[in-house]
Amino acid sequence: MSTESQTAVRPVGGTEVAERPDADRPWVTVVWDDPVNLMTYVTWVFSTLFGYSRPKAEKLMLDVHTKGRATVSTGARERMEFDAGRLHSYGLWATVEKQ
Amino acid sequence: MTEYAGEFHLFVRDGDELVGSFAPEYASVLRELVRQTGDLLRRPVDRTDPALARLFPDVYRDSAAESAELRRLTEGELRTGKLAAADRILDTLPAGGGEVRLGAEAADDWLRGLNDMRLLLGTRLDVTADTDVVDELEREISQDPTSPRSAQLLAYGVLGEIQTSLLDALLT
Repeated sequence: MSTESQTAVRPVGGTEVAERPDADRPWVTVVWDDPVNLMTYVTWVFSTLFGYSRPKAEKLMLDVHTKGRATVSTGARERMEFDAGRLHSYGLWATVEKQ
Repeated sequence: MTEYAGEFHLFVRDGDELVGSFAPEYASVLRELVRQTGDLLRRPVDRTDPALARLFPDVYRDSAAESAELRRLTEGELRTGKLAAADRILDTLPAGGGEVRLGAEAADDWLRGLNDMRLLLGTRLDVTADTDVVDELEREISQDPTSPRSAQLLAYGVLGEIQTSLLDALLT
C-alpha cells in the first residue's frame, strides 16, 4: 500500500532545497471530482483499494468533492499507473502526475 | 459527486451476504441495461464518445501520447474487468425478478457494474453537479413520457437507487 508520508528532503542546516532535480519528485495519483459518482461509493472505493480507515477515506472523498481533486497515493511512477488503473476499474476519474 | 436523498431498502444484510429483492419490472429494466452495456463494451473503445472516454480515461492529462502508450498495455484488462462485472449482474439477477444473494466479491462486481452504467448514462444525459434528476424526469415526462430521454432519466434514477441501497446494506 502506498502512503503519502514522504520524508522531507532537507540539507544539513535545515533550509529546504529550493530547486530539487525533477527526477527526485515523487509521482502521485490524483482523483478528480465528477457529477455522477456517489459520495458513499467513492469513500468505499478509497478504503477498499488502499486500505484507508473510514475517516481518512471520507476526508479524501470530501477533498475531491469540495476542492475538485485530491492526491490519493504517492510513490513510484509504475505504482501510480497501477493505482490509476485500479481506480478506473471502479469508475473513478484518476490521473497520474509529478508532485 | 452526488448523493441520493431518501432511503431505499432494495438490499439488506444477512450475515456475510447482501440480499436484494427485485420486482419483475426492475429486474427486466436492469438486465436490459446490463446487456446494452455489455454490447457497447465488447466493441472497440470509441474514444470520440465522451461516455466511453469517461470509462477509459487518459492517465496523463498533459500527454496524449503517454496516455495512449499506457492504454495499449492496460485497456484490454480494464475492459475485461468491466465486462466481468456486467456478466456477474446477469448471472445473479433472475430474469423474472426475485431474490438476489451476493457475497463480498459479487457485491463488488455489482457496485462497479452499476457505477459504469450510471457513468455512461450520466454522460449521455449531460448530468452536472446542479442536475436534479427527479425534477428533470418530471419535466421530461410531462413533455413526452415516451422520449428516449425520459427512459434514460428513469434508468439513471433507478440505477442510483439500487447502488445507494447496496452500499447502505454493505456499510451497515
